[in-house]
Amino acid sequence: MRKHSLFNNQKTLSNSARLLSGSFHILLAAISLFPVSIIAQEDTLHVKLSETEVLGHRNEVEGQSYVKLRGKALLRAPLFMGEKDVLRSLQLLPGVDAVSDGSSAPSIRGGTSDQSLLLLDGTPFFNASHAYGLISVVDANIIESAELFKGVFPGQYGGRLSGIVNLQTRTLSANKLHGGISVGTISAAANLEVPLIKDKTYALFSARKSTIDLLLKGAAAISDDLSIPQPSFGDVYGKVIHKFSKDNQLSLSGFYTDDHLSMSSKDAGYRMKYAFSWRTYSGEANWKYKLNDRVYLQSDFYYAGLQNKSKTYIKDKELNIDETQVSKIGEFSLRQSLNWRLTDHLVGAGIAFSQTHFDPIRIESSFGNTAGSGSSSRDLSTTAFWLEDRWSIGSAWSVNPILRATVYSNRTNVRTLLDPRLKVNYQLDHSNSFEANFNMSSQPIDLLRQSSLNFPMDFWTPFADDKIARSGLISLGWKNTFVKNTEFMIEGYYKRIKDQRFIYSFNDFVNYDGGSVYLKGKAYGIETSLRWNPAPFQLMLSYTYSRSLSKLHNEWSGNYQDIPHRVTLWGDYGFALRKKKKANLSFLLNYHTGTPFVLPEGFYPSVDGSHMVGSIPVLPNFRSKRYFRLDINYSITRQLKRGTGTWQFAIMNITAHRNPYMIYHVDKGYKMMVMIPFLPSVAYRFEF
Amino acid sequence: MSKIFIRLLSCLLITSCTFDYDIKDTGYLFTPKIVVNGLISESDQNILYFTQSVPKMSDRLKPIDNARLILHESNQLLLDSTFIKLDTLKLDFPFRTGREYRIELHAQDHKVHSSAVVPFPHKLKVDTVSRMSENNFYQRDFWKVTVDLQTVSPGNSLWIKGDIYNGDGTIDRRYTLEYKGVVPFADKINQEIVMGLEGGLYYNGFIRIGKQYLSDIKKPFEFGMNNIYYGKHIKLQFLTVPESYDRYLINCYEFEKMYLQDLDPPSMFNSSVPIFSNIEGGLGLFSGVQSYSINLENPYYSDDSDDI
Repeated sequence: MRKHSLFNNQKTLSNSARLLSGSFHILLAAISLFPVSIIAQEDTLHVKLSETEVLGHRNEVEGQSYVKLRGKALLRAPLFMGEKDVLRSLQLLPGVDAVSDGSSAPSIRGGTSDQSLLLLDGTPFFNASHAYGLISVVDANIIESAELFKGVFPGQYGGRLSGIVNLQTRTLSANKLHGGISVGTISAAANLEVPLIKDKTYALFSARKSTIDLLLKGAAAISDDLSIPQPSFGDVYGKVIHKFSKDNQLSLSGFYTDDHLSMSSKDAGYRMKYAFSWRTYSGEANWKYKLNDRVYLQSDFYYAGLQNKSKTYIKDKELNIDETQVSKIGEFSLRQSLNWRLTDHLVGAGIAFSQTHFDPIRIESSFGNTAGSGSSSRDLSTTAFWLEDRWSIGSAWSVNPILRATVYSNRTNVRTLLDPRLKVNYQLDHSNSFEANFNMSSQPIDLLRQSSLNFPMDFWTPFADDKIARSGLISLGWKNTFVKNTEFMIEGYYKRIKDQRFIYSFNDFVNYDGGSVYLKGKAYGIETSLRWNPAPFQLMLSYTYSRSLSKLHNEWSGNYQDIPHRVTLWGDYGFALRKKKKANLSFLLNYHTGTPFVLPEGFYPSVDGSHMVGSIPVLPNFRSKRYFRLDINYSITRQLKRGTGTWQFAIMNITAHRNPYMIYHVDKGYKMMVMIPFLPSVAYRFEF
Repeated sequence: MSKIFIRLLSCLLITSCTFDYDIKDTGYLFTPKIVVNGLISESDQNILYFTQSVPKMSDRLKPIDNARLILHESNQLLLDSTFIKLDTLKLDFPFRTGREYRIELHAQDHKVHSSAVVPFPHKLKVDTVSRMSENNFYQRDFWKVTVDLQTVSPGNSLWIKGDIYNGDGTIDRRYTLEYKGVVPFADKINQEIVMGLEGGLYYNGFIRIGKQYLSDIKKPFEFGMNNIYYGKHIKLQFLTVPESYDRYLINCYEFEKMYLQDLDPPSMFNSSVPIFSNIEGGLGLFSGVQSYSINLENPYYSDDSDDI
């Protein structure tokens, strides 16, 4: 195999060269500035910019701390209860965990799930989970790529300590109708991409609805028992993109998710209904404009919210109760960014303003009184400025300094924080690259959970006491692709956190603004992964050593995210069954050190002497036995006249290993609850 | 709200299971801590309790050896004594309303301390106690209580709770009074919705009306008491509870839900929450309280009530 330097030190971003026959390694340096595509035509390679992505989009350098999963990588990811799940797929990567089986939200590098900023096309969504955490709220069929930032955050993003997940919906550039319909064990979904005006206007729609509630409604009808719980969930997404010209594009999108659980009872003379609902909603307008060949502008406006509601309705001859309890968070934001391309630099700058309103608990009651509030409503204003540069030094070095300044205000306190960030990439040769990260960030809001599941009473609350949690992270990584079809990565990191508010008692917090402590934190670890892709196989092995510690009363101890050893092995094998029919067999193995829990570490009599109570620590004092889970998926895809049809069969936890989700005390000892036992599922999807 | 959450949990159980769990191999270090418990009031006799925490719920409690106890009322010294073994201390004097009391205990090279104020009481009057019947499948009797809240003590919550007494005068811990009815803005901590029962708002064990809701109660309110078959006597208490005791009682309730009730599995809404303590350096609670109680005789009680 011969090696040629075709494009070294070129100052232009498009080029072509005549090639001799044979096989080549293609090394594209300075690709951080703009995405490139490579087209082979006979003996010539054309390297050109991607037209649609030039409009203000900044491509990150993929490495250890920044990962972007695209198209097929997402589609071939494992299934969760027959559903493709982007957030779950990210949890295959080293340094990204689900803290428990009942959580879709990722925990990044020892952080809590609320320390991860979850974005859909740059707009935050405050609830990640459908069905009590089993699957995520975003339908994977509308997602084109998923970006994970666990090192340096881009300048335009902040407000979280541990990481950022940005899911990008499909970009819609083809002038043909495309879509799909699927029906599975727990949900049915449809998505459609429509060119409305050729080369100008495109639309993307998707809708998903749970199917498990239909089974339960049927059971209720057959048994005539209205008190059978009726859980359901659904989500809707829509986006329209209009291109005024090649350099001027507007997109409008909306996202709505709903989880619902209700029970009712009815008899002569009385009627009762009790219902919970979780709702996430957002609307976004995004305008990209190319001012000239060097300057690109992007304007964003969004409103995003979360509403959790419980409703009680009771009516009989004595009572007439109609009471609704609502927790809400709503945020609107304006963001203006600018990218300016120079010869070896891509300079970015911007300003963002957001206003967030928190309604922790509001009660609307038929008693005629205005609602008493256990915790009054609160506001948070955030104004951020950022400046960054992506500087390519020769063909090997890329330096990305970022400075973000943020002003936070919560009615009573105003804090101004500076978050410097720096990312350095060094491409030693075609198979070795190194990366160093320094990242500072701040988080002015905390999630108040009543349990590790997300339930209606969960809500967010802004900072108090003039303290805002801050984190600083350094990391160093090496990526090697020397062996054919393999990619090896290793990265070490160290993170410190200060003023992290940990709310351990929901009721105490709601009633007295108590039940919380400020902690110092530190997390460190080593993440490794090995990918082996000799088609039609794909194999990925990752191992993470990570510690996540908190300091309380001058003592360091492991927190709820402290899981030192974690191994993930994922494999996929695609093969043809016969003409127009192919199959995929894949597996996912998860193994990690036991999960931290809190158990009473002593007992003493209650103040009235009536019973014993437990001495329960704030931080975990107990670790369960090791976690092990093996999932297997098998899919068969058949080419049909007007598209493809795919059967997907999946079994989660095929060995039926008992991984505790919850450990609790009973008369003669302890018991555990397992969220995912041996769990088969099936789904069918038709795409055209 | 436990019953509603049992229902909710049943949804989760579609995909989940429960199993025994052995924690022998994953034990943790136990360190005994000094426990001080004392509810002080205007009563002529107040009792303070002292002990050490134990590793198991069934372990026998131990007194505190060689303990020096100091008690102040505002800046005036009330007590400074050393005890060879200290477990219970009866004080034959009332604690005065509005005064601050400070307690210090020196033992085992440790000092634990706390302070408390006896709150001004909520002034209320129990107007009527009458027997009612539910005319449904369960055909249950309950007592309807009407309470006129006349003056609210600012900053203090109201707890309504009753104890069932056996014929020999001991409290029957097997049965908890269940309260039915509507108390505007009553706390949702132990509120239950019972499907299939008429008039379905229930409060299991107690009714708490948080301090922020009390001023909204403009007129007499009513509630019902169930489970009245099981005791010969019922003592109904109205407690004026300051912040520290309120937080403690809420946490104790959460602990009971998680660890002491026979829910298997317990509600997901319950979690292992540290129990509030205002004993610096130790465990327990030292708090003031005001109590107003009425005693009710149960004409329907019989020795074979257990079979009902």
